[in-house]
Amino acid sequence: METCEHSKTSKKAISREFFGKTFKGRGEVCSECGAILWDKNSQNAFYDWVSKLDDPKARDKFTVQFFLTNKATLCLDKIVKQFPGSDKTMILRALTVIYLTAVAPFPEFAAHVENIMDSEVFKDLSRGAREQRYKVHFKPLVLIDLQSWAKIAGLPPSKFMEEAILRLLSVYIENNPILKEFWKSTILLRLELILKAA
Amino acid sequence: MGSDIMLEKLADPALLFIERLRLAVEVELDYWEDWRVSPNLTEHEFRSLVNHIPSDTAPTWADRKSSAGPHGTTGETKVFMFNFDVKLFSRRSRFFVKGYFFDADRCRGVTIQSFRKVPPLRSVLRNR
Repeated sequence: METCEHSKTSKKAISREFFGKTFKGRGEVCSECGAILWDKNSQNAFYDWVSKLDDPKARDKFTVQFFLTNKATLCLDKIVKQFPGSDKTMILRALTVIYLTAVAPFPEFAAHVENIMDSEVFKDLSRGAREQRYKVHFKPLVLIDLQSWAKIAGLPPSKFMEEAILRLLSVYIENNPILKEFWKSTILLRLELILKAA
Repeated sequence: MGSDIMLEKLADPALLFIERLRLAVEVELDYWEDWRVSPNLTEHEFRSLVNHIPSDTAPTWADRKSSAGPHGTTGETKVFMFNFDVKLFSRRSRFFVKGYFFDADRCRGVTIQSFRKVPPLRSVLRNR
């Protein structure tokens, strides 16, 4: 595969879009292919900018809307009952963060969760119209992770969330001892920590 | 892991290529974002996927043609190139990576010149 090695560059204005906002800076740009160099300074400046974006007036910008089946919602209700003081939105937010940080980046954990797709539990949870609407607000730095993984999977962020949540809910219900242990050791522990800190 | 410890580990000649790449990414990553290619992949996607690169990945090496960029003159003279596959939500995607470590005398980071999704063969043949 032929790729440019960026031999001719010049310093120019650079920008990056993020959920309707635009980060602006200056950086090296390749004159031949237009590629932009993100070095540690520009990366730090971008993430610093993102971390300051959470404006209560612009809450909708960082809210992801998605849909689940009725059965998935019943499953969610069961988890809520296990954590007094929590609600469905908090659980959904926590499960998403867990998927993005503790499952997706690690091939062996991602494979565990992927294998659930062949199970009757997953097929049952996924069956039926996805009519239950949820709107979950995230801090901007979490949205970077969600946007990244959604791009990798070739899905919009909302669809990625639906698929991730369905898989984790299936792991929760499954009787398979390996998955039960995975739920306990990888997901439940983190769920407890996140909900305590909320 | 503190940066001094990571730099010490990076100097270990017995490190596998992929171990070296993962450590170097943590210490310092220069990333060329090719925004004209779709989907445009940023350094965040690259960092997210670095653990998915198989441990036995053996890249091909070629002479580096460019000395541009903050570590262009101090970096290693060879670029590495490899493909790797990721399966997520039953979809398999292939990615291509090209880059070089810097600095040549003491590794303390990596420049990624190209990171892109490889289109499936079907779509390549269809577009001919």
